[in-house]
Formats: sequence, structure tokens, C-alpha cells
Amino acid sequence: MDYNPTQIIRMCALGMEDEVLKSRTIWMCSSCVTCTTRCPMEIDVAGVMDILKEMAVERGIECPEPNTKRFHDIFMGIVRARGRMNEPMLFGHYKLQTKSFMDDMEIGKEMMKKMKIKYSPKVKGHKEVRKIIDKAGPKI
Amino acid sequence: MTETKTAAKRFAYYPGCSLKSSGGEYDHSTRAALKHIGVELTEIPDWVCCGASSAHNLSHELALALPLRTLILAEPAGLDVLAPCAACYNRLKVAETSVAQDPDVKKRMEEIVEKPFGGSIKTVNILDALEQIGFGETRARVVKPLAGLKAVCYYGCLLTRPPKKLTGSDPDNPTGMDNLLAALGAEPKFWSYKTDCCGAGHAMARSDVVKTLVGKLREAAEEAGAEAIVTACPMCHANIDMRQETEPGNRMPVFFITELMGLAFGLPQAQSWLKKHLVDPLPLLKKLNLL
Repeated sequence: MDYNPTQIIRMCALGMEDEVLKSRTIWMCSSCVTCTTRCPMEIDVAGVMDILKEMAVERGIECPEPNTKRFHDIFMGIVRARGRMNEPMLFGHYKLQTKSFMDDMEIGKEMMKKMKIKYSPKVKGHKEVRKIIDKAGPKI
Repeated sequence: MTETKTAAKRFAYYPGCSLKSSGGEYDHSTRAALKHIGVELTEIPDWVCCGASSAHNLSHELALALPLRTLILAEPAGLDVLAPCAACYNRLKVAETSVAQDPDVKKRMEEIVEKPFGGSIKTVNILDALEQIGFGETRARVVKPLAGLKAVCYYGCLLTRPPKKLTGSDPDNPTGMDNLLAALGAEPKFWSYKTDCCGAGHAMARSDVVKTLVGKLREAAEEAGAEAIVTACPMCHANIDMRQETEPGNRMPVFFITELMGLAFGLPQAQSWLKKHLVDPLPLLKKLNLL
């Protein structure tokens, strides 16, 4: 994180658009929502982080956490095509796109051995899901 | 009165994508444990992904529209929706309350989904559902009390936050799972990490973050005198099960609360769920004579 959440909110108030939208912090937020829950000023800090990510993507700003962004894009791409997540496809596409074949090999082997991940079929309403995603964004 | 009782025992079921794959044992144990206490689940036909930990990062509208589509599908059956996955529960519940609280949001969402939502059904998580039903039947069905099992209940982020959009639980000190665990005969240990974050969706892109946070949870659980962690979230479960950095023999097992219900009920299929875990919980259960 390059700024803490308090700093991000103050920077927003000061109009520091560029700095905020380029920051790593917005992509490192795990959306635990502790900040929103505890903010004495009742600011939805986690909601602000989400909107900032959305704005950064819309403006084509380079993401300082490219793999995180890639993960979300792959995730939503699969849901757009199939209506549901398909974990074997998610892991496969992510590994291919990030060329991170050697990461988590041991965990991957264990998961295969225990047959933990399954191929889910497409849902009937997948075309409807595609329409929803195309209307509500993002562009994937 | 009879009618209310019957109504509380039937739910529309939204397993979500994790429970159909890597969180399969949570799906199987939920179905088996609830059936055993007389709860009827009907899977929502053609349910779709709730957007989980990704949609909200890319589009705030999509994060509401996807779960709303499933709620609209479920509405005609007139049953409340049970979503055992904490992430799905969170997305569905936030969508449900967001359209209920703001007519403009409702209008926009119905435009996107192209269907109206009457708002007549509610989303509940597994702890809400069991609390609604009451622990009576659960207690009555315990044939193998989990005596000696010292565990901490880990609720994570998504069951309680944000409290303004969800319902019920205290966001800092929820107690539903602790009470349930005690009803099964186990020994819930108090700790202050109940609703801390495990790193959630960073599991793949920033596993270093998840390893650090899981390490802290494991340490705190041990300090609290626990030998296991109990959860109601497939993402928390996966992260704790896969990302403990201590040597393999010294990793702490993590259970889904419904698996422990199955064990305490003496359900024969319970072992098949536990065999899916990466941290083998069987040595601990054997040591405590719980198998």
C-alpha cells in the first residue's frame, strides 16, 4: 500500500485525482469493509475504493497491481461466457496469462489429487448474464 | 404458529460457484446436516454467479445486478434464500437491501436485469438460518458430542460487514457460530480475531498477503488455546487450509461449521468431506476420540 485509507479519503477531498487513481492502495484493498464499519464520519471507505478502481479502469490508467486486475478480468470473462464461475478455467487462464506456472505447484498437485476443483457446466441463462454484464460494464 | 414453524424450515438454496467446486465439502455437509434436522432446501433453478470478490472491483452496478438476477429467479417460490457461502450471502444481501433502501437504485437495477423485483424474500446465511430454526433440533440430534474439541470460530469479513446492509450480527463480536459450536458439545475459545480478514480474493495474485494474514490468524488461534479453526466461508476455508506457512505436521485444521454438525450427528459421510481438506483434520479427531 502506498497510502493508508485515511490518506486516500483526504486526497479525494483535496481533489488529488491523479495520485489517487494511480495508487496501489486502491488495488490492495481486500474489501474487508472494516474501515466503512468503523469510520466515525460514516464514510463508506470501501465503497470509495471500489469506485476509484472503476474510474481508474475507465480512464485507462495503468494498474500498479496488474495481476490483480488480470484476475478480476479473467473471472468476469468466464462468468460472462458461462453464467457461473468455472474454477479449472479460472486457474488455467490465470496461469497462462501471468506465466506463473511454477507458483503454488504443491497446492495445485494436492488439489488435483483430492479432486477439489470441478468443471461446472454453462447455465441456461448465460446469454442473459452476458447482457447484464455488457450493460453494467466493465468492458471485458 | 405451526405455519411459521413450517415456513422457517424451508429455504431456497443458493450454493454458489465455490460450493460446486473447491468448496464442495461445504455444500455436501450443509445439505446433509440441514436435512438431518428437518430443513428442506430447494436449489434455485438456473442460479448465476453473484460476482463474488471480482465484480465490485470493476463495476458497482454489476455488483448489484448479478445477485439481484438470482433473487428475482428465486422470488416466485416465495422462500427465503439460504446462501451458505459468506461471499454469496454478502453479495445477495447487499443487493437486497440496496434496492430496498433506495428507489433509484432499484429502478436502475431493474432496467439492467430487465425484470422487476418485488422484494418479498430475504437472504439468510447459515448462522441466521440455524438461529431462526432454533438450536433445539440440533441439540436433540447430537449423538457424538464434540467433547474436548477446542476451537475458535472465524467469521471473517463477509458475514457481518457492512452492518448497515446486512442484518443482525455484531461486526466485532458475533456469537452465532460460538453458540452453535457449544451446542455440538465442543469448546469454543474466545479470541479477538473473529472478524479479521484472511486476505480474501488476493489468494492468487498476492498470495504473500494471504500468507501473512493467515499466519497471524493461526498464531492468534493457538494463543487462544484452540486446536482448530471453524468457519462458514469457503474463501476463508481455502485460504487457511492452503496458506499456512508452518511445517506440514504443525498446521492447524480448519472445519466448516456444517462438517462439525455432521460429525456430532454421527453422519457416516462426514469423513468423506474431511478427506478433501489439505490440512488433514483426522489426526486431531482421532486423538480426541471423535471419529
